Amino acid sequence: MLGRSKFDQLFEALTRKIASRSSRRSFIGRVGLASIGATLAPLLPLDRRGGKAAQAAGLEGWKPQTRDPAACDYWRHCSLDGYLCLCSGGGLTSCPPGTALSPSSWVASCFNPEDGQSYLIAYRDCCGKNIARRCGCFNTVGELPIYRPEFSNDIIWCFGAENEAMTYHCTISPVIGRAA
Amino acid sequence: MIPLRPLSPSLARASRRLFSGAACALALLLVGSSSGLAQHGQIPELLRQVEGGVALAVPVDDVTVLQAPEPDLRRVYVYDTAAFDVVTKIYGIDGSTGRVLGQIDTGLLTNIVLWDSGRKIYLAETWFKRFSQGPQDDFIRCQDPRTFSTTCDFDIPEGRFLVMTMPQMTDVTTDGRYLLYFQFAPEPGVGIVDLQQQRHLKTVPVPDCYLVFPSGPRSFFMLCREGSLLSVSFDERGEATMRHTPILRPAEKHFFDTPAFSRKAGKVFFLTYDGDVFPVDLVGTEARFGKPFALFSDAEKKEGWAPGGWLPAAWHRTSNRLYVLVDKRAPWTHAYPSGWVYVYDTTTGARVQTIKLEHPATSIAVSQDPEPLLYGLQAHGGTLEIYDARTGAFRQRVTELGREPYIVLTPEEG
Repeated sequence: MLGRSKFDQLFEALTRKIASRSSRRSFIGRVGLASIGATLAPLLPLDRRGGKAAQAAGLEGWKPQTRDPAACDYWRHCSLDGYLCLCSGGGLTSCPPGTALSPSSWVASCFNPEDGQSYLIAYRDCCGKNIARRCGCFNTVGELPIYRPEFSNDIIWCFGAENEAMTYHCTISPVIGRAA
Repeated sequence: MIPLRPLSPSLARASRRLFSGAACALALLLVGSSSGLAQHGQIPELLRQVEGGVALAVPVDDVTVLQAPEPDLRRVYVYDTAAFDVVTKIYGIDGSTGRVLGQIDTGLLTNIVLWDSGRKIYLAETWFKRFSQGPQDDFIRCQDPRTFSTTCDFDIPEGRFLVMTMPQMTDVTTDGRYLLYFQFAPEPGVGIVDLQQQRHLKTVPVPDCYLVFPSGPRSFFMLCREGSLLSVSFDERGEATMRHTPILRPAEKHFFDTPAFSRKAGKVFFLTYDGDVFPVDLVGTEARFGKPFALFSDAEKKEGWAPGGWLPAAWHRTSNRLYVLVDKRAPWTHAYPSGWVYVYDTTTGARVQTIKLEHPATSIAVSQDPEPLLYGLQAHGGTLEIYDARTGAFRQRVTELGREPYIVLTPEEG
């Protein structure tokens, strides 16, 4: 069902190997994934969906669009399970006033139907205020279980935010590179 | 009874003024005195004197605070995580009648543990000094299932993993002595809490492993990144020894974060995104891998049938029935609600029943009594639907259960 490519299998094997050798200190490094995103990017999985589609909250699958970033089916939001900062005083890549931008993130590979390319998105949480509760999205493309936390969107990714602000407000969707 | 008498209009107006004044005086007295002016069903003497009995023309109700009945195995708890809101609530519901019995107020991404057939409720909680801001405070509270009030409250080190509530991020050992909670950062660990002494004993560092499955009085298992389980045992000082099992999860498959687990039976049923079940017996420090079985035929898988939801599986211990939320779905919709529950005999892996739900459910649970109920929770509708688990017959619906309730829990016997 996952339609895993050989590249994915290679990545899985690599992470298993790394995990078996990882110390606790290196784990801390993985939590702050954004800071090493550039290094990790070449190892991340290719877009498994290949442009196949779905609605934001339907069983028919992901169908990305490229016109409206404030809508849940905007292509960059393919694995965003939370609230769009764009609707609450922030932007597509900027946090609302008074929040703290977290340096940690989870990662997904999202397909842009406009240019036919897949891009790595390192979702960043804006922290330190209660949930925005505007423009709630529930997208799970590429989301993996908690034993692969770097691909899990169920975590409050506020680790390392200013003032140790561990409350979740909203999420932004910056591109950190091309996936393929 | 004080006799009633008719009033002239002027006397009635005067009486209303007097009554208003008397009510204020009464309120002040109620606030100012704890000596019991307002015993249940009694008429305060002040009111008798001022009104001369007129107020008794209206029947006076008895007022009180109820207690819920002693919990049974059909008691069900619905937790409204309200996404990642810092203020959340837990509803206690009588599954037999569908009646909401009471509410527990709680904080951000609480974990709820039911123990002793539901007679004890433990909460692992997080709060902040100024609403959503300021220093984080993690703590453990006990709740009484009859009074819905707090019976213990003590501090633990900050470090609870703040993730959308997954039941197996927190649990108690099989003798109920220790509560175990997962910590993610700054390094993975499991916090051990002595419930008898009400204190944090130790946080044990663990390798890249997650979730907690108690398997004995001083032992538990975890699920690790590379596919093995981690067996952990600890002594009374919290000193731990651990070792990995052989690989359980095939590299090409992924397990849901929320398997069906029975602490009492020492059994866990890991469910894969594509519809396979990996049963494991957990006894002390030993894990016995059972024979995996498929939820669907190859043809059904090609049609798109797969499990899905937040809590997509529940196991009824005495009948060996595994209830699984399923539907025809596109890839990467594994967390979305499902419209069906398929039922499997876990001794053979055979599908024995299919239940079409009234509405798609995000999470399910099953009561552990001999005539079990199936609970289907709609997170984005705030509704719990109750079915006869043996026949699939719809019984009733409980509505208005918060904003986004994702968690539905039932107690185990013992």
